[in-house]
Amino acid sequence: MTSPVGNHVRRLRFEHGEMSQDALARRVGITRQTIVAIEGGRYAPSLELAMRIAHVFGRGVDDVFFWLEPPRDV
Amino acid sequence: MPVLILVLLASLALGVLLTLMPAAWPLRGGWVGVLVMVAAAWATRRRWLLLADAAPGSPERALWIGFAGTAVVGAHLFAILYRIGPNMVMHTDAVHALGIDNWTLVAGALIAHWIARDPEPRQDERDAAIAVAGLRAAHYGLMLLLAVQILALGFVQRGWIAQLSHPSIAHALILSVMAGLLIDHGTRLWLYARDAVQENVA
Repeated sequence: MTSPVGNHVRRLRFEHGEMSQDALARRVGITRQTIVAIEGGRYAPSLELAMRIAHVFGRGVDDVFFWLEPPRDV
Repeated sequence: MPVLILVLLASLALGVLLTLMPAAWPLRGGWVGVLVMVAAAWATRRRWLLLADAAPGSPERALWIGFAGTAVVGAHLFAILYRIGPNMVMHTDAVHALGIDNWTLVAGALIAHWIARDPEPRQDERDAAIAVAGLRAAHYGLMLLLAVQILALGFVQRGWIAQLSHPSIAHALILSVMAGLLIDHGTRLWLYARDAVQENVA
């Protein structure tokens, strides 16, 4: 199961002093396994979690998360 | 997935084997089961310590121990009911002895859970989402089991089902609840395992 939402979390971690997955997980209050799942594109975080992750990197949510394919209008 | 099936089969086999232990043995089956579960929990804890960062998260650890423990206790209870037959009567010496064994196993499962627990428990929204999927599977599984039991009790007028005593029916319901727990834990562990497989492939 892959999420339709991609992200730059892995790149941003490395750009922020090679922050470890566990360190990021602790900063945002989740497990390392969930960071692994997000980076692997297998889990799309809630809006709140996405905002917390973006906040750690000092970015907006749009800078960290993006659509892999533009959503169809309904 | 193969590990999940292996743990399930081994736990079910242990539960059944414990009811077959000769009465002449110095230790009752329940205590033997506790020793095996505690030893397995220590070994598992040690393995997870060695795995460090690659070890499963807090909810997954609890699920593994709960899954194995429930399978042992459930298989033991099932084997007891099978041995006693459909006309089970409560409060006889034999039933008391087997009941004490079963409750001893429950205590063993709780001790095993305590031993193998994550010393620094953490869980998050992904664990909650996986828990919902497990609960949903358990809900439908339990509904199916109850429907089969209700139909069997209501419509089967011959054979051993028609002879079931009230305590036997009550214990069959307990077994259904335990089966529901196994479905819940099994589904959640399968979802975690699927993620881990994809992680390794990636």
